[in-house]
Amino acid sequence: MRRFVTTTVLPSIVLFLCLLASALVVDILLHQMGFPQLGRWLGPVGVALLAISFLHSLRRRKMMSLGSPKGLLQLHEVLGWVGALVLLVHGGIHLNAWIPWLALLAMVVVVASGLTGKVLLGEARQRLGHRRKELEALDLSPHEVERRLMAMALLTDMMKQWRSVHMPLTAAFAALALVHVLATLLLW
Amino acid sequence: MNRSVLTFLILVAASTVAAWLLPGAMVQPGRLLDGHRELANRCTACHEPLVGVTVERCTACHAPAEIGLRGSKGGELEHARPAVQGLHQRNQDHACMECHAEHAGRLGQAAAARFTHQRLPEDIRQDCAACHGGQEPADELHRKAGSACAHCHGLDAWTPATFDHSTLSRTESCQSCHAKDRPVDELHRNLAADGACDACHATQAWRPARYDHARYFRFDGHHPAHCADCHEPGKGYESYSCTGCHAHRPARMAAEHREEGIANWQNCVRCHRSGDEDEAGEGRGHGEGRERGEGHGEDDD
Repeated sequence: MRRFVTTTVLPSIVLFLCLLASALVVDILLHQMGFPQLGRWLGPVGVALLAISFLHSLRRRKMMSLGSPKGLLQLHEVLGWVGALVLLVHGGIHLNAWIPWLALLAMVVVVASGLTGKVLLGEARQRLGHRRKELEALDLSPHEVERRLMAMALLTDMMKQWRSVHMPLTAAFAALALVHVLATLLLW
Repeated sequence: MNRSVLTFLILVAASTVAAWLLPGAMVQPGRLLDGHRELANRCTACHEPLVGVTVERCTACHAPAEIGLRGSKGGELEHARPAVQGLHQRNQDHACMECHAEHAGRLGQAAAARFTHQRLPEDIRQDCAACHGGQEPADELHRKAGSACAHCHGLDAWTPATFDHSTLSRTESCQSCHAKDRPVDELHRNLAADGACDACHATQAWRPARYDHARYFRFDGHHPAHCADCHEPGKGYESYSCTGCHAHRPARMAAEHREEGIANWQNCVRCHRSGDEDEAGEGRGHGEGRERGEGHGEDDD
């Protein structure tokens, strides 16, 4: 259990805190260097990074066949974090209007949810590993071990439950961000 | 319907309606500046959809010929600024948004970054008060400087500012401008009120400061430099005493110096320029020491 906390839970918490701290540091640096207006143009950059990170979702839903699911999941994790950082700097610590601010808040919640999903996935894999060892100890054939593991559907069930929260949150972020972007383009 | 899709559609619809009804609160990128605050929920008064803020939209209310003289509603300004009018007249080939931004926040920062005084015609560029009149600092230093801002300040930023002291007349003393800047530490407290700052400090910068104490007395291993060891606090650095440490009896010192033919021995550092007692004797017949020896002679007369 302790190993699980130190290798999976703690790194996720640190990643989340690093995201908030990094955004603050970059924003302060931009102000001190006299380029606060650069933050405005980080909006499209952040949106592009997040859009690329969603290739993982397309691949998982078999809407594209390019790339390996594992590689795209890693890309999703990395670009999700970097894109969120860029958009946090874009927003800065300003409460100018409700829709962009709520979009930013939703994005932070989605990142927290994503990191929670990462933790759950780690836990599910660990439990699956333990169960596999137990079944192998029973001297079952490899085929039988796989069949029984599939029957548990442990990984699938856990991630299904998590996705039922993560996806609506992502949809909320996408909706608010879309209205913000459209309003910006309309009233340029 | 999928829960995520439903969430997305509901939120898009709700936030679109909210943005339509209350754009000022929902999508405004920064509060409007005072002059345009009444337009907070009428975005299209300035923003042409999908195009942006055009010069035509601005000049529909702000005629370039009247900027600086009249308000957008035609009334004469209480403090008319012809220079501002001239500036806008001569910059009609530039878009208003190149320099102006009416929303605070990122947009304002972007516009401020684009404005440069280099764009101004030469005569306006030299006349800072034409646009910045009334913004002059009210302190003594700036009151004396008058309207010659460019003497010290650059066109890009108020600070850092530089001042060329060589332009001052010889009769000006440091105190006439920097009286309030005088340090109150022990070292400076002992200096006379009209002390010659330039004995240690240069006009380019307060630091580094350098004082050549060896001109009067050279420190060495026998004389750690604690000012108060020799200079009594409050009496100024012209006053000093060697006998605070060297317990010489005046009668004996007078006798010893008389043997050498020195009558004026009270001002020790005239001959003893360091802790080396023999230095005075060696130097007396040569170079600087000789001058001092001659000094004694003159005093003796």
